[in-house]
Amino acid sequence: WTIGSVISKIRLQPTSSTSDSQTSYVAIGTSDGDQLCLSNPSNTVSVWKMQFPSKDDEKDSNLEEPRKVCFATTQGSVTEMKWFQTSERDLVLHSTDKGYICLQEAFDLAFEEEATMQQLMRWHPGDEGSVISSMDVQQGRNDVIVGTEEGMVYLLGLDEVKPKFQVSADELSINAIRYVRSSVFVTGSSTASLKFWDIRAPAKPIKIMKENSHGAFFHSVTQHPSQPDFLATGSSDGCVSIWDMRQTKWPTHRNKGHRTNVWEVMFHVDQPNCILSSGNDGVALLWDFNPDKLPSNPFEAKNDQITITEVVNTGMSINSLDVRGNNLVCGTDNRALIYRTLS
Amino acid sequence: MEEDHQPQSNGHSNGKPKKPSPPETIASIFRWETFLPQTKTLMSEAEYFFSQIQKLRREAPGQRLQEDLIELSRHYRAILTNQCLQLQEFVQSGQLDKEKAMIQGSFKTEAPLLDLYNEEMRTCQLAGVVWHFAEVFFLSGSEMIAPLLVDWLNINFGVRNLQLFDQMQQEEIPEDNEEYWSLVYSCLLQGQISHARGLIQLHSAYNPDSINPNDPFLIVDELLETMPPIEDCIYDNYQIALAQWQERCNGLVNLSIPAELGTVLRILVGDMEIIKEQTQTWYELMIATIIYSQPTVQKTDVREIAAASIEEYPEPTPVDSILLAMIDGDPILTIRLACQFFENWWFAAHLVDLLYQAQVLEPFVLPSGVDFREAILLEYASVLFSHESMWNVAASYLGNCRKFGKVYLERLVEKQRLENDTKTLKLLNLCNVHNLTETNQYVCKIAGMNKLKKRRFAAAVMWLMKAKDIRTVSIAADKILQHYSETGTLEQIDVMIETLGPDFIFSPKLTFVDKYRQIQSLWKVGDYESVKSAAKLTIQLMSTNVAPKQFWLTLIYDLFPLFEAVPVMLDVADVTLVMHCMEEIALSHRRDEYLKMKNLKEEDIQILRMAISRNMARAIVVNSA
Repeated sequence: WTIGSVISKIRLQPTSSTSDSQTSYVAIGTSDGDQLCLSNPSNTVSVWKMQFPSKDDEKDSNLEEPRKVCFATTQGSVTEMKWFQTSERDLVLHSTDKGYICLQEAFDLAFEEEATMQQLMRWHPGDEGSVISSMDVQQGRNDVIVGTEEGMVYLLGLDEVKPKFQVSADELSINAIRYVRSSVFVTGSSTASLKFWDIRAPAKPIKIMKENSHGAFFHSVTQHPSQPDFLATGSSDGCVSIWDMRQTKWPTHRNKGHRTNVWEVMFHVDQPNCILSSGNDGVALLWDFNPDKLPSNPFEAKNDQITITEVVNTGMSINSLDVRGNNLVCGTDNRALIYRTLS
Repeated sequence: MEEDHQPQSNGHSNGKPKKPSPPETIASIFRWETFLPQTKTLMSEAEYFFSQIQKLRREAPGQRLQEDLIELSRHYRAILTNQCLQLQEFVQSGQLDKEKAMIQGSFKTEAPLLDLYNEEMRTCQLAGVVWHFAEVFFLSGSEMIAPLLVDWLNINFGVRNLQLFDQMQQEEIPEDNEEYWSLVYSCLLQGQISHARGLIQLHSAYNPDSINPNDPFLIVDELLETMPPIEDCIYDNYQIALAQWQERCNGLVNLSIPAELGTVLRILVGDMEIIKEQTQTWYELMIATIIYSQPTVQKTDVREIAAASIEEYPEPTPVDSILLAMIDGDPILTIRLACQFFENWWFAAHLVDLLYQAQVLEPFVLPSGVDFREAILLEYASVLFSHESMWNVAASYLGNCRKFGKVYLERLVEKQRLENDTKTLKLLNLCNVHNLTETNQYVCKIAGMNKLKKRRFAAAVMWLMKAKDIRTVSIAADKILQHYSETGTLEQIDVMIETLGPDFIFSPKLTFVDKYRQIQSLWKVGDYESVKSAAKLTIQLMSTNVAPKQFWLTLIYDLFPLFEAVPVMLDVADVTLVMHCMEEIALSHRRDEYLKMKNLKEEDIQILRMAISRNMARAIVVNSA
């Protein structure tokens, strides 16, 4: 399904606010708006309503096409986006490459005609030309951790204007940032190393883990949903690596699946042995680390039994993907929104 | 190349003026017309099918790919129709108003947005019509052309008839509607026989149970029912069957029947006068002629019928000329006319590629030396990359142009702005895929210089090393040193050095930075041995000319505490060197500059000289002892 602009980030709403289990809301951030026109920005963050095909063919005949429900413009391409959901409110937080972080609220999503999106707050933590490259939110605590291309990390509180702290985390760009525990976060940067930081003592990293490759950047870091010691990363040379935080230095697995940059990796929440990755070569892969469903932990052993299935293959780079339950959405450079139901 | 586009001028300079601006404008912004967001969608979708075709051709180089190409042609048509529908819905559902501000902002034209949308819709519709006709004439192979033409007419122009038919069904006495009979004739002329029959059955005088054998309505109804359908024209006996059927119609013409039914019969018989009277456009006339008098016409003979039809009507429109060129079987002329009519090259580019792959169009080299298909694809790609965000789509087309594609691609990539690292990486990937090594280095260089401007030294060096350009790496090293002399820190360098590893030897300046960092770390350690090594290293740097001159004073100043040290750290040779360097700086015509860099004054030089001489004295004493 094509939409009007290049999708740079796509996120499914974490918990469905509709009773219909097939319908979902998706937030889409674009990156090809008019860059020269500062007074009238044309990149948008929009919420779309869509239905996923189910296994029941009968229901599929009435499947609705994705529809844009509401949108808001933003300056600069969207570099990261997260849903922030409380029981009554639907909030979307996004960061742009002009250095802004904006919190938008979507009102009346159920009433499509009147749905609107409004900006609640906006921060600009860095200097004039800074580019925010990554962001993560701590759901319970209303904190947002932000990494920039200048190597700075800022911690923002949602109800405050100024950052709670900032630290110069790296000399190169911080492309990926993630909370791993309630007070520990990890940054992945262009130096192919993962650094772990504690919020309470932010001056120095508490641990550094490195990948043994020369010149590869990390683009994405994600955490295993039930075993918090395992992380997965996607890097610019096409590799997806698994890391065990309890080990000292090296990744436990490293597999090259894509031809070029892996933009995003995600653990499949329902089947935690599976990882989905999307890359610049237009392919989304599903990595099953335990295809035989052995009871032992697949990540601990040096498991050679990894099955990789190609889930999506389009011509142009898949910039972003998200998965919830069995529903997968991808956003591509081809201005297309691709959605599938995984088996 | 750009004569098709009108530059839109914006008379005001960009941004809000802070003071009352002078009455004349100083700068204007000229922009080529940009695309509607829906047009961009259309282009992306088309690009997908374009790549599919290229892939198909790559995998089966010599074969005739008829069915696949027809299917892809249908896809193209489908996206055109879809585009019309989407535009319509966008305008009518009010979305246009919601997004007006956003779209208007990027357009900056005087024309109201609605007009642009309407025009776009019309263009898409025409494109669909012409494309379908091309599919019929160029891609259909040796099939009979009549059913395809009827199909074409019905799909593209038959909608109105169907709507009126539905309307008629609602009416009590349809024949009282003044459009009734003209609708009947129109259905017959367009080959919508079953609809015509339905209309006859709606007539209040139609009575299926009538016992009158000569009931004209029953007779006509029966005739329509038994008419050999046009799809059967592939069978050999079709012509005979049709002739027999028309004999029967003829026999009834002279009976006393209502005038309108008489007209119906005369149409069915193929009476040219009546047909000419009732059709409204030349192609209707042509197709009606084919249905009723020459259903088994070959593709090549259509042109005579067309010529005759066109005679009846005034001057053909540009679109008509395109259709006529297709009937004539001239693909090159078709494309040429299409280029003229459809402004933005979209149509021409995709059609020429399709025809080329279908081997309908032979490779044909223009006088400028470029292959025809490639020339048009290049034009289209140029249009695409006039808009910033369409660069990857353009790249896909350029990748398929064998002769000049690479050059264009290089220019395209060089032109892109690198707002963030992701985009840089994507561009580099593109360069790698197409083996554009120089452009790759160019992009790295630009990325590096961008980082340098933001004073991100480590990142800058990383990118510049990828660019393998010594000059810029040296510039970066200079800036690093400058940064050091201003701030006294060299933090960023540590990690940079680790990541870069052995590549450091690449630039002498960078090597110096590395060595200097080593010196600094030795100084920090502080014990006798390290300090001595630091001193030795410093001397070495100065003697081998690795250190740039601006830095000499800094180095000497660093050594200052050593001059008075006990025991003597620097021996005669070292101190001689230091003295030599000192004097060279002091006597240089740039001494003020050097002094300013270190925030030193004239007296400080004296102090340094004195310290050096005292060290010298002690060194000589030690040496001779």
